[in-house]
Amino acid sequence: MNTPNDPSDDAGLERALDRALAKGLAPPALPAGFRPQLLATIARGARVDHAQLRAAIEREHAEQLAELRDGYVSLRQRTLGTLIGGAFAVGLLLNFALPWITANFGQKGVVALPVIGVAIGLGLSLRSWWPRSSLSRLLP
Amino acid sequence: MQQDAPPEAGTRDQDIVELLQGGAYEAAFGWLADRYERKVYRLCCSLLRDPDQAADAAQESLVRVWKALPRYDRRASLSTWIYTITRNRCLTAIERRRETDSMSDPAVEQAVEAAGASAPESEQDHLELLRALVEALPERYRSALTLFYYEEKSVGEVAAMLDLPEGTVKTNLHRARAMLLERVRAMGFGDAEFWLEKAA
Repeated sequence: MNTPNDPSDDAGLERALDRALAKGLAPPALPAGFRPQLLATIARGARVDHAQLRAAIEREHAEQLAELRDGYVSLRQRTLGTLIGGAFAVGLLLNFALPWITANFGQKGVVALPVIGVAIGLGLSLRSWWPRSSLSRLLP
Repeated sequence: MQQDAPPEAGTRDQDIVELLQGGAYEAAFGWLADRYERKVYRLCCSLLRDPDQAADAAQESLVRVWKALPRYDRRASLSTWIYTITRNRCLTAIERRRETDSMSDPAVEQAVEAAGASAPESEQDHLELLRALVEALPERYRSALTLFYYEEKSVGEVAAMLDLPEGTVKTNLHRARAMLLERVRAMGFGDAEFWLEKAA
Protein backbone atom coordinates (compact mmCIF):
# COMPACT_ATOMS: atom_id res chain seq x y z
CA MET A 1 0.00 0.00 0.00
CA ASN A 2 1.41 3.43 -0.89
CA THR A 3 1.57 6.44 1.37
CA PRO A 4 -1.46 8.65 0.81
CA ASN A 5 0.36 11.94 0.36
CA ASP A 6 2.82 10.99 -2.35
CA PRO A 7 1.99 13.12 -5.48
CA SER A 8 3.37 10.54 -7.89
CA ASP A 9 1.17 7.91 -6.25
CA ASP A 10 -1.77 10.30 -6.56
CA ALA A 11 -1.19 10.65 -10.29
CA GLY A 12 -0.73 6.92 -10.73
CA LEU A 13 -3.84 6.10 -8.74
CA GLU A 14 -5.81 8.76 -10.60
CA ARG A 15 -4.77 7.30 -13.95
CA ALA A 16 -5.63 3.81 -12.77
CA LEU A 17 -9.02 4.95 -11.49
CA ASP A 18 -9.64 6.82 -14.74
CA ARG A 19 -9.11 3.62 -16.70
CA ALA A 20 -11.27 1.69 -14.26
CA LEU A 21 -14.01 4.30 -14.46
CA ALA A 22 -13.92 4.25 -18.24
CA LYS A 23 -14.58 0.54 -18.01
CA GLY A 24 -17.03 0.64 -15.13
CA LEU A 25 -19.06 3.55 -16.46
CA ALA A 26 -19.53 2.33 -20.01
CA PRO A 27 -22.42 4.10 -21.73
CA PRO A 28 -25.64 2.17 -21.19
CA ALA A 29 -27.09 0.69 -24.36
CA LEU A 30 -30.57 1.69 -25.44
CA PRO A 31 -33.18 -0.84 -24.30
CA ALA A 32 -34.30 -3.26 -27.00
CA GLY A 33 -37.22 -1.97 -29.02
CA PHE A 34 -36.72 1.60 -27.89
CA ARG A 35 -37.28 3.19 -31.32
CA PRO A 36 -40.30 1.08 -32.36
CA GLN A 37 -41.91 1.83 -29.01
CA LEU A 38 -41.18 5.54 -29.43
CA LEU A 39 -42.66 5.60 -32.94
CA ALA A 40 -45.70 3.64 -31.77
CA THR A 41 -46.28 6.12 -28.93
CA ILE A 42 -46.02 9.02 -31.34
CA ALA A 43 -48.36 7.36 -33.85
CA ARG A 44 -50.87 6.64 -31.08
CA GLY A 45 -50.62 10.24 -29.91
CA ALA A 46 -51.04 11.50 -33.47
CA ARG A 47 -54.24 9.47 -33.88
CA VAL A 48 -55.59 10.95 -30.67
CA ASP A 49 -54.49 14.42 -31.76
CA HIS A 50 -56.17 14.00 -35.14
CA ALA A 51 -59.39 12.80 -33.52
CA GLN A 52 -59.32 15.71 -31.09
CA LEU A 53 -58.58 18.15 -33.90
CA ARG A 54 -61.41 16.76 -36.03
CA ALA A 55 -63.85 17.01 -33.12
CA ALA A 56 -62.76 20.58 -32.42
CA ILE A 57 -63.16 21.61 -36.07
CA GLU A 58 -66.57 19.97 -36.31
CA ARG A 59 -67.68 21.68 -33.13
CA GLU A 60 -66.45 25.04 -34.37
CA HIS A 61 -68.11 24.48 -37.75
CA ALA A 62 -71.43 23.62 -36.08
CA GLU A 63 -71.19 26.72 -33.89
CA GLN A 64 -70.53 28.91 -36.93
CA LEU A 65 -73.45 27.35 -38.81
CA ALA A 66 -75.78 27.91 -35.86
CA GLU A 67 -74.58 31.50 -35.58
CA LEU A 68 -75.15 32.09 -39.31
CA ARG A 69 -78.59 30.50 -39.16
CA ASP A 70 -79.57 32.59 -36.15
CA GLY A 71 -78.28 35.71 -37.90
CA TYR A 72 -80.16 34.89 -41.09
CA VAL A 73 -83.43 34.22 -39.30
CA SER A 74 -83.02 37.35 -37.25
CA LEU A 75 -82.32 39.38 -40.40
CA ARG A 76 -85.38 37.98 -42.14
CA GLN A 77 -87.53 38.70 -39.11
CA ARG A 78 -86.20 42.27 -38.90
CA THR A 79 -86.73 42.84 -42.64
CA LEU A 80 -90.25 41.47 -42.50
CA GLY A 81 -91.00 43.55 -39.42
CA THR A 82 -89.63 46.67 -41.08
CA LEU A 83 -91.68 46.08 -44.26
CA ILE A 84 -94.92 45.43 -42.37
CA GLY A 85 -94.29 48.33 -40.00
CA GLY A 86 -93.39 50.62 -42.89
CA ALA A 87 -96.55 49.65 -44.82
CA PHE A 88 -98.73 50.36 -41.81
CA ALA A 89 -96.96 53.68 -41.20
CA VAL A 90 -97.40 54.73 -44.85
CA GLY A 91 -101.06 53.67 -44.80
CA LEU A 92 -101.63 55.60 -41.59
CA LEU A 93 -99.84 58.66 -42.95
CA LEU A 94 -101.86 58.60 -46.19
CA ASN A 95 -105.04 58.18 -44.20
CA PHE A 96 -104.35 61.50 -42.45
CA ALA A 97 -102.36 63.32 -45.16
CA LEU A 98 -104.69 62.86 -48.16
CA PRO A 99 -107.66 64.72 -46.67
CA TRP A 100 -105.30 67.50 -45.50
CA ILE A 101 -103.60 67.79 -48.94
CA THR A 102 -106.96 67.83 -50.75
CA ALA A 103 -108.28 70.47 -48.39
CA ASN A 104 -105.23 72.75 -48.72
CA PHE A 105 -103.93 72.14 -52.29
CA GLY A 106 -106.95 70.81 -54.12
CA GLN A 107 -107.13 67.68 -56.23
CA LYS A 108 -103.83 68.58 -58.06
CA GLY A 109 -102.02 68.65 -54.78
CA VAL A 110 -102.60 64.93 -54.34
CA VAL A 111 -100.42 64.40 -57.44
CA ALA A 112 -98.09 67.39 -57.15
CA LEU A 113 -96.87 66.83 -53.58
CA PRO A 114 -95.78 63.20 -54.15
CA VAL A 115 -94.06 64.31 -57.40
CA ILE A 116 -92.17 67.01 -55.46
CA GLY A 117 -91.26 64.40 -52.83
CA VAL A 118 -90.01 62.01 -55.50
CA ALA A 119 -87.98 64.83 -57.13
CA ILE A 120 -86.36 65.74 -53.81
CA GLY A 121 -85.59 62.06 -53.18
CA LEU A 122 -84.05 61.66 -56.64
CA GLY A 123 -81.99 64.82 -56.11
CA LEU A 124 -80.59 63.53 -52.80
CA SER A 125 -79.82 60.14 -54.34
CA LEU A 126 -78.06 61.76 -57.29
CA ARG A 127 -75.98 63.92 -54.97
CA SER A 128 -74.93 60.87 -53.01
CA TRP A 129 -74.23 58.71 -56.09
CA TRP A 130 -72.43 61.26 -58.25
CA PRO A 131 -69.12 61.51 -56.34
CA ARG A 132 -68.70 57.71 -56.50
CA SER A 133 -69.70 57.44 -60.14
CA SER A 134 -67.11 56.99 -62.87
CA LEU A 135 -68.97 59.63 -64.85
CA SER A 136 -67.81 62.29 -62.40
CA ARG A 137 -64.17 61.52 -63.37
CA LEU A 138 -64.93 62.09 -67.05
CA LEU A 139 -66.11 65.63 -66.45
CA PRO A 140 -63.73 68.42 -65.51
CA MET B 1 -44.83 7.71 -38.52
CA GLN B 2 -42.22 6.51 -40.95
CA GLN B 3 -38.75 7.70 -41.57
CA ASP B 4 -38.52 8.90 -45.18
CA ALA B 5 -34.87 8.28 -45.81
CA PRO B 6 -32.05 6.76 -43.81
CA PRO B 7 -30.03 9.48 -42.12
CA GLU B 8 -26.56 10.13 -43.31
CA ALA B 9 -23.72 9.26 -41.00
CA GLY B 10 -22.63 12.84 -40.63
CA THR B 11 -26.03 14.35 -39.91
CA ARG B 12 -25.57 17.64 -38.14
CA ASP B 13 -27.97 19.78 -36.18
CA GLN B 14 -27.99 22.21 -39.10
CA ASP B 15 -29.28 19.49 -41.44
CA ILE B 16 -32.10 18.74 -39.02
CA VAL B 17 -32.93 22.43 -38.62
CA GLU B 18 -33.08 22.83 -42.41
CA LEU B 19 -35.55 19.96 -42.61
CA LEU B 20 -37.62 21.61 -39.89
CA GLN B 21 -37.60 24.90 -41.77
CA GLY B 22 -38.90 23.03 -44.80
CA GLY B 23 -41.73 21.56 -42.71
CA ALA B 24 -40.42 17.99 -43.05
CA TYR B 25 -41.06 17.21 -39.40
CA GLU B 26 -41.16 13.42 -39.69
CA ALA B 27 -37.88 13.21 -41.56
CA ALA B 28 -36.32 15.73 -39.19
CA PHE B 29 -37.47 13.74 -36.18
CA GLY B 30 -36.07 10.54 -37.67
CA TRP B 31 -32.66 12.15 -38.02
CA LEU B 32 -32.95 13.78 -34.63
CA ALA B 33 -33.78 10.47 -32.98
CA ASP B 34 -30.80 8.83 -34.67
CA ARG B 35 -28.54 11.57 -33.42
CA TYR B 36 -29.93 12.12 -29.93
CA GLU B 37 -31.86 9.11 -28.63
CA ARG B 38 -28.78 7.50 -27.08
CA LYS B 39 -27.62 10.77 -25.55
CA VAL B 40 -31.08 11.47 -24.18
CA TYR B 41 -31.20 7.99 -22.66
CA ARG B 42 -27.75 8.38 -21.13
CA LEU B 43 -28.69 11.74 -19.66
CA CYS B 44 -31.81 10.15 -18.17
CA CYS B 45 -29.73 7.24 -16.83
CA SER B 46 -27.29 9.65 -15.25
CA LEU B 47 -29.97 11.80 -13.63
CA LEU B 48 -32.43 9.08 -12.62
CA ARG B 49 -30.00 6.21 -11.85
CA ASP B 50 -32.60 3.66 -12.84
CA PRO B 51 -32.54 2.11 -16.32
CA ASP B 52 -36.29 1.46 -16.45
CA GLN B 53 -37.24 4.94 -15.29
CA ALA B 54 -34.58 6.35 -17.62
CA ALA B 55 -36.09 4.50 -20.59
CA ASP B 56 -39.55 5.85 -19.75
CA ALA B 57 -38.22 9.35 -19.25
CA ALA B 58 -36.26 9.21 -22.51
CA GLN B 59 -39.36 8.03 -24.38
CA GLU B 60 -41.50 10.78 -22.91
CA SER B 61 -38.83 13.39 -23.54
CA LEU B 62 -38.56 12.44 -27.21
CA VAL B 63 -42.35 12.41 -27.59
CA ARG B 64 -42.38 15.94 -26.15
CA VAL B 65 -39.64 16.92 -28.56
CA TRP B 66 -41.74 15.54 -31.43
CA LYS B 67 -44.83 17.45 -30.33
CA ALA B 68 -42.86 20.66 -29.84
CA LEU B 69 -40.90 20.41 -33.12
CA PRO B 70 -43.16 22.86 -35.03
CA ARG B 71 -42.59 25.41 -32.26
CA TYR B 72 -38.79 25.09 -32.21
CA ASP B 73 -37.68 28.68 -32.85
CA ARG B 74 -33.87 28.26 -32.94
CA ARG B 75 -33.33 30.68 -30.06
CA ALA B 76 -31.39 27.85 -28.40
CA SER B 77 -29.32 25.28 -30.24
CA LEU B 78 -31.11 22.04 -31.06
CA SER B 79 -29.04 20.05 -28.55
CA THR B 80 -29.65 22.58 -25.76
CA TRP B 81 -33.37 22.53 -26.52
CA ILE B 82 -33.55 18.72 -26.46
CA TYR B 83 -31.46 18.41 -23.30
CA THR B 84 -33.60 21.03 -21.57
CA ILE B 85 -36.76 19.08 -22.34
CA THR B 86 -35.06 15.90 -21.13
CA ARG B 87 -33.74 17.43 -17.92
CA ASN B 88 -37.15 18.91 -17.12
CA ARG B 89 -38.75 15.52 -17.60
CA CYS B 90 -36.15 13.90 -15.35
CA LEU B 91 -36.56 16.59 -12.71
CA THR B 92 -40.30 15.93 -12.70
CA ALA B 93 -39.60 12.22 -12.19
CA ILE B 94 -37.14 12.99 -9.41
CA GLU B 95 -39.62 15.29 -7.68
CA ARG B 96 -42.23 12.58 -7.92
CA ARG B 97 -40.13 10.06 -6.10
CA ARG B 98 -38.83 12.73 -3.71
CA GLU B 99 -35.26 11.65 -4.01
CA THR B 100 -32.91 13.03 -1.39
CA ASP B 101 -29.26 13.84 -1.80
CA SER B 102 -27.30 10.72 -2.68
CA MET B 103 -24.74 11.23 0.10
CA SER B 104 -27.45 10.98 2.71
CA ASP B 105 -29.05 7.98 1.05
CA PRO B 106 -28.50 5.11 3.49
CA ALA B 107 -29.12 2.47 0.81
CA VAL B 108 -26.19 3.79 -1.23
CA GLU B 109 -23.95 3.93 1.81
CA GLN B 110 -24.89 0.37 2.66
CA ALA B 111 -24.10 -0.71 -0.88
CA VAL B 112 -20.65 0.90 -0.62
CA GLU B 113 -19.99 -0.77 2.70
CA ALA B 114 -21.16 -4.12 1.36
CA ALA B 115 -19.02 -3.77 -1.77
CA GLY B 116 -15.95 -2.85 0.27
CA ALA B 117 -16.52 -5.26 3.15
CA SER B 118 -14.20 -7.83 1.68
CA ALA B 119 -11.33 -7.29 -0.71
CA PRO B 120 -12.73 -7.52 -4.24
CA GLU B 121 -11.18 -10.36 -6.15
CA SER B 122 -12.72 -10.52 -9.57
CA GLU B 123 -12.81 -7.76 -12.16
CA GLN B 124 -16.57 -7.59 -11.68
CA ASP B 125 -16.11 -7.03 -7.93
CA HIS B 126 -13.76 -4.15 -8.63
CA LEU B 127 -16.17 -2.52 -11.04
CA GLU B 128 -19.08 -3.01 -8.65
CA LEU B 129 -17.10 -1.34 -5.87
CA LEU B 130 -16.19 1.53 -8.14
CA ARG B 131 -19.78 2.01 -9.28
CA ALA B 132 -20.97 1.96 -5.68
CA LEU B 133 -18.40 4.62 -4.81
CA VAL B 134 -19.56 6.76 -7.74
CA GLU B 135 -23.19 6.32 -6.68
CA ALA B 136 -22.29 7.63 -3.24
CA LEU B 137 -20.90 10.89 -4.62
CA PRO B 138 -23.00 14.05 -4.24
CA GLU B 139 -25.46 14.41 -7.10
CA ARG B 140 -23.70 17.17 -9.05
CA TYR B 141 -20.37 15.32 -8.98
CA ARG B 142 -21.92 11.95 -9.74
CA SER B 143 -23.90 13.17 -12.75
CA ALA B 144 -20.90 15.05 -14.17
CA LEU B 145 -18.63 12.03 -13.71
CA THR B 146 -21.00 9.45 -15.19
CA LEU B 147 -21.84 11.61 -18.20
CA PHE B 148 -18.16 12.37 -18.71
CA TYR B 149 -17.46 8.67 -19.23
CA TYR B 150 -20.73 8.02 -21.08
CA GLU B 151 -19.87 10.79 -23.54
CA GLU B 152 -16.31 9.68 -24.25
CA LYS B 153 -14.77 12.25 -21.92
CA SER B 154 -16.23 15.26 -23.71
CA VAL B 155 -16.47 18.10 -21.19
CA GLY B 156 -18.32 20.23 -23.76
CA GLU B 157 -21.00 17.59 -24.26
CA VAL B 158 -21.44 17.10 -20.50
CA ALA B 159 -21.74 20.88 -20.08
CA ALA B 160 -24.43 21.02 -22.78
CA MET B 161 -26.32 18.10 -21.28
CA LEU B 162 -26.32 19.54 -17.77
CA ASP B 163 -26.63 23.16 -18.89
CA LEU B 164 -23.53 24.14 -16.95
CA PRO B 165 -20.47 26.17 -17.93
CA GLU B 166 -17.53 23.98 -18.96
CA GLY B 167 -15.48 25.40 -16.09
CA THR B 168 -18.08 24.22 -13.59
CA VAL B 169 -18.09 20.76 -15.14
CA LYS B 170 -14.30 20.59 -14.91
CA THR B 171 -14.46 21.66 -11.27
CA ASN B 172 -17.11 19.07 -10.51
CA LEU B 173 -15.07 16.37 -12.24
CA HIS B 174 -11.97 17.36 -10.32
CA ARG B 175 -13.84 17.27 -7.00
CA ALA B 176 -15.51 13.97 -7.91
CA ARG B 177 -12.13 12.38 -8.60
CA ALA B 178 -10.67 13.84 -5.42
CA MET B 179 -13.53 12.41 -3.38
CA LEU B 180 -13.15 9.04 -5.06
CA LEU B 181 -9.42 8.98 -4.35
CA GLU B 182 -10.06 9.90 -0.74
CA ARG B 183 -12.71 7.22 -0.44
CA VAL B 184 -10.69 4.40 -1.99
CA ARG B 185 -7.75 5.26 0.25
CA ALA B 186 -9.99 5.33 3.30
CA MET B 187 -11.26 1.89 2.35
CA GLY B 188 -7.72 0.58 1.93
CA PHE B 189 -7.78 0.34 -1.87
CA GLY B 190 -5.44 3.24 -2.60
CA ASP B 191 -2.91 1.22 -4.52
CA ALA B 192 -2.84 2.06 -8.23
CA GLU B 193 -1.72 -1.47 -9.04
CA PHE B 194 -4.84 -2.80 -7.38
CA TRP B 195 -7.01 -1.00 -9.91
CA LEU B 196 -4.70 -1.45 -12.88
CA GLU B 197 -4.43 -5.18 -12.44
CA LYS B 198 -8.03 -5.97 -11.77
CA ALA B 199 -10.30 -3.35 -13.20
CA ALA B 200 -8.47 -1.31 -15.79
